Amino acid sequence: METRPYFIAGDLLCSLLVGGVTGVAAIATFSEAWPMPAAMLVGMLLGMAVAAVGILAFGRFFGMIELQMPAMLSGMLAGMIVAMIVTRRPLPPSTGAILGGVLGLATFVAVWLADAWLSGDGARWTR
Amino acid sequence: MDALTRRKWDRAAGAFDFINGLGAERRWWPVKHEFFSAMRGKVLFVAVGTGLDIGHFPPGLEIVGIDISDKMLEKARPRVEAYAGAMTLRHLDVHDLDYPAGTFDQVFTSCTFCSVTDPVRGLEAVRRVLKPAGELHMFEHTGSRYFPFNALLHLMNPIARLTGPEINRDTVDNVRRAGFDLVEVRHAFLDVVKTIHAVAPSPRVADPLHPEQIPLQLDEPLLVAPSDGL
Repeated sequence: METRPYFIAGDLLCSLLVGGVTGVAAIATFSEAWPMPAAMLVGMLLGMAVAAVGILAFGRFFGMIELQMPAMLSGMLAGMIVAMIVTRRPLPPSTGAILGGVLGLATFVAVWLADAWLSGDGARWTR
Repeated sequence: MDALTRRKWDRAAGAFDFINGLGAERRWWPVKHEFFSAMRGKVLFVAVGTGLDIGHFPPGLEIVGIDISDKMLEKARPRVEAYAGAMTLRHLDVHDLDYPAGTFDQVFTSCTFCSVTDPVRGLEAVRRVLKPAGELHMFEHTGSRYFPFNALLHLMNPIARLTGPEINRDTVDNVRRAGFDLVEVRHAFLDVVKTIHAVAPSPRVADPLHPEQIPLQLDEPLLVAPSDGL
């Protein structure tokens, strides 16, 4: 599991930015006129596109393969959730940014905990 | 030689160090340093790329580095010349390994079998050139067994494979299917980035890849102790 501050900060920053930008983009894209399932699906794709940009921007400094997991999941989740809410009631862009950022933070923590579980000593096996 | 794969990696050679030479190398430095410290004897390094990993190699070894891309090999040449041992490079596809059976003590790979067109056939070719009980050491990124990581990797794979590797392969299973005995798998990031240690089977039974060898009669199984934790 990653414990070095440089990489934790990089992964976290990328997830926060991807989540926040996706939240704002989702608010700019969707409205109450959208059917919720379609908005959630397109929102997820929108989040993937934002994450791809984030991964390209941050990947050189923090490693693309490791960065892509939290960043891509942050984008997908933020896009889906914010799009879902916007089809019910309008939100200001700042709320979208905060909500997306919080989802990015939650995703980063979940991936970090999953990594701690999967790459710990218990995950090593021999045969 | 697989022309499509060769062209893909020739194209990637120009920006390879720019993309991978800083963050990824720094992130995996401790894992790779320990991983490559296991090098012993005559070693085949499959897919040497631009030679970013050569800095981890212990000095004084006899190493052959191969790669499908001659553009990658051009970039690797200064790093090979700086290596304090006997390292040679060959432009060669792993599927077409032309060394006699049982040439190498060990084979090392680093993010290689995500890109080999037919991974099981490539690993069988690797097994053929290994001595009996010769070791295969792999540092690879693979697919995941766990949701949502497996779904994400499957979803992103069609895009990833256009520019470089496949990101959803079950490389551990491919190693098994190629006839290796697995010794140890260690996860470095989730269950996606991992090291795999396997051995070519000792000729206790007739091996079609080593027909010249007389099967040994061993009463005890070969035991290999796992190394210490990361």
